[in-house]
Amino acid sequence: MTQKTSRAALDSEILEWMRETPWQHDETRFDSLALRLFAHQFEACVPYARYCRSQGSVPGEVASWRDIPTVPTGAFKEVRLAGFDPASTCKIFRTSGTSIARRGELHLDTLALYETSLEASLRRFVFPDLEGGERMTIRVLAPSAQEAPDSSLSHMFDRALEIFGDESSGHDLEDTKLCVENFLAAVLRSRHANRPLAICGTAFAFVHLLDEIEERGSAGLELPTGSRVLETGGFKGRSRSVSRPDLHAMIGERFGLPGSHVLNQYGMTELGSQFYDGPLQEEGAPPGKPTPPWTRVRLIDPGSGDDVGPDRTGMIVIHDLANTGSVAAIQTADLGRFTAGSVDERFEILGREPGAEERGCSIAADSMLETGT
Amino acid sequence: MSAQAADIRAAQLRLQEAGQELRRLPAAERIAALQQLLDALADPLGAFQSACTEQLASHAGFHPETIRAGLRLALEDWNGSALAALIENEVGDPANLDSRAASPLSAFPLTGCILAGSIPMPTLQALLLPLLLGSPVLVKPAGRDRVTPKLFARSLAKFHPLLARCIEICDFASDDAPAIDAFVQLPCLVASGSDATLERIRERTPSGQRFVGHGHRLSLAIVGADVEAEDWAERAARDVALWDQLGCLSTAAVYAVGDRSRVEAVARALAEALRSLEARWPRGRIGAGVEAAIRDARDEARFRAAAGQEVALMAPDDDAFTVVLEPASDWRSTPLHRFVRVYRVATPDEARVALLPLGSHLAAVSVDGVAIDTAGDSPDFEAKLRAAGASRVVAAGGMQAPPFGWHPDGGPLLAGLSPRGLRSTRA
Repeated sequence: MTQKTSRAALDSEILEWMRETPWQHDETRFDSLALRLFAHQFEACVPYARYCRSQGSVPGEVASWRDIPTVPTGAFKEVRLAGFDPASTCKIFRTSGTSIARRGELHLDTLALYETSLEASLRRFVFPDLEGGERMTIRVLAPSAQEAPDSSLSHMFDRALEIFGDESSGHDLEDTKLCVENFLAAVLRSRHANRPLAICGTAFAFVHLLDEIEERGSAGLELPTGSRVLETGGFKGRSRSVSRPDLHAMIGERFGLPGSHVLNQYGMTELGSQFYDGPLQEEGAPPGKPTPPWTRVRLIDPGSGDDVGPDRTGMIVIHDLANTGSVAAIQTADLGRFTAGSVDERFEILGREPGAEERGCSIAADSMLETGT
Repeated sequence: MSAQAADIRAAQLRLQEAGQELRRLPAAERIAALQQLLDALADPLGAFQSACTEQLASHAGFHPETIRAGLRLALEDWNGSALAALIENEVGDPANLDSRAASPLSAFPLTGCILAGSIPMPTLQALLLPLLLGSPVLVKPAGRDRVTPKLFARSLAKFHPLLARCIEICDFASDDAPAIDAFVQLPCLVASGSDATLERIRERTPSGQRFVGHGHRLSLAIVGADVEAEDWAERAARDVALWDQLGCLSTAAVYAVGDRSRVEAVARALAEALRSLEARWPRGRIGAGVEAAIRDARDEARFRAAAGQEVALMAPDDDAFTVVLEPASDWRSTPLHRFVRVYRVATPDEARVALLPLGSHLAAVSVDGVAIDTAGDSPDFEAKLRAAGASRVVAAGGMQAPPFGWHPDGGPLLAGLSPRGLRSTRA
């Protein structure tokens, strides 16, 4: 029988793990925490408990974290998946969407785990060279959290500015418009001072920025050594999309950055933790995203639900202990693959395979609604 | 200039030369050859349907039996008489298609077709119509159907070698910018694809150039409360299963009128009909991404059911088909590939209102039993659906067999392809 642990005790144990350096993967520790967290969430979150019962999986009968029932991300659009009194809510992050499409919601009663997880990962993967409170200029191609208070992405970038940004840092996107002049001025300042610059933003904002730069014929934008780019997000609902390798190549070419300094982050509103490319942290690292110790990634066969073997493509399932207030076990519709030789600890995102529209002329109506037609 | 761009230029020169000969042909000769061609394509035992079935199965992933049934049904009435009817409707006297005549419709010196998807019928229509007007055609085949244009040209060569010389196929990658730039210079450009794809092509097309865009669409079914569920389901399942629900005339979702038990009976009947069709017309291959989307959508339905929503999932252990009973008419995304949501509505008009946001992407609606249900409403229910964007309203089972002259926009087919015709730029 899984021992009952209070939420506060779980939070405290998980926070402690997040703050530890160096990172240590520990299967026994993860398993123990995941099973106790499952027991708590089963008791605290009624819709989750109902779902678990319908799947025939209840605490005490689940032997390993791998057997904890996962909820599809769409569940966050349906019900309030939270294990605390609504009056204690301090933040709700919402997925993007139109007025017609439903939006998923992550309800939080504390930002401590979210922010601790975020800071640990940013420090390790994006700013590993900043030591002892050192800061650098960060320009963000996304709205501020003030402008988009329910966007987890804006919150994340704002936290990056607070923790790692210097006085020249700020946003270059306001009222949904890119402030290209501001951005180019920051690039020039960085070049003149020979101080590296970090640029963070959504993939679509980068495409838009590169188009704008091309249109203006702006040249000489190679950034000083040590500069870096962090992009995230996809192109759903956008009129233009670019493959990730192409986008990274375009960014690298425009700003004179090696491939190791153009990073992708994989995250989603429903998760408390994110996953980053690792080459800045570990020179010559194989491709893929290392998992923080307080998370586990499974790749499953969509047909059987069984774990797939190395080098096989599978649906990404994430167990994130940072999600103490909601549900920690989440099934995404994204495809991924473990990087060779690092099963469980490093994975590549393959995105969502283009489906119906490639084969027929019927539109997947979610695309239609996302484009606001 | 890429090798493909150079190929396009060379093909353009050859086609323009062939086009001069084409326009010297009497229209009656062109029409007769194309009628013979259509009669041949319509033959279920003929060379075209046999080769198309075999080759498309390996290219596009459909099961051969599904292709065979889809071609047979769709092309049955796409014959020489159908072409004559189209001409009569849109041109009047066939002699008006003679280049000497002071016709309201003339031909572009060359038409470029950028094809998409893997359903043969839109491709056949896209290739045939410019030839009918007297315009040669340069084709970029769809990535998943390189078969149909070749088979079309080969079949045409048997009836009229000059007409066959007026079609050339030029394949290039969709990110080959020099090739795309060469292609969009053609005097008339017809493109199919997603809204985003059409927008990208349109952006590159020189201003003033004719651009005809055929965007992706979807079709729906409305079934009244008094329709015999099993009979309806058998017909509706065919509309879903043919082309694995990927055509714009495939039923993507059903609006069923009635209370919970009635709509559940409709959904169960549909699931049962899809199950028995699976034995005759097995669903084709799907990739891991589609498998993942189906699993995700099924798990979401299970979660909602467990959460107390009146949702029911009806599906086999494998992912051959899925029916989800929805408690309300709010639209939800669908992975397609024989995944159908059955929305419960109180009245037919609730269904009509529910599909209003889909209007500009709507192709056809199958309607059964509505007249019986809503006597006061029925006289203009079809008109209301047409006003909502549906260009075809038929009974279930007939969705995948549109008349040859059907245009997804509901307008004429030929006008957009003629310099003197109306410009059609819908994406």
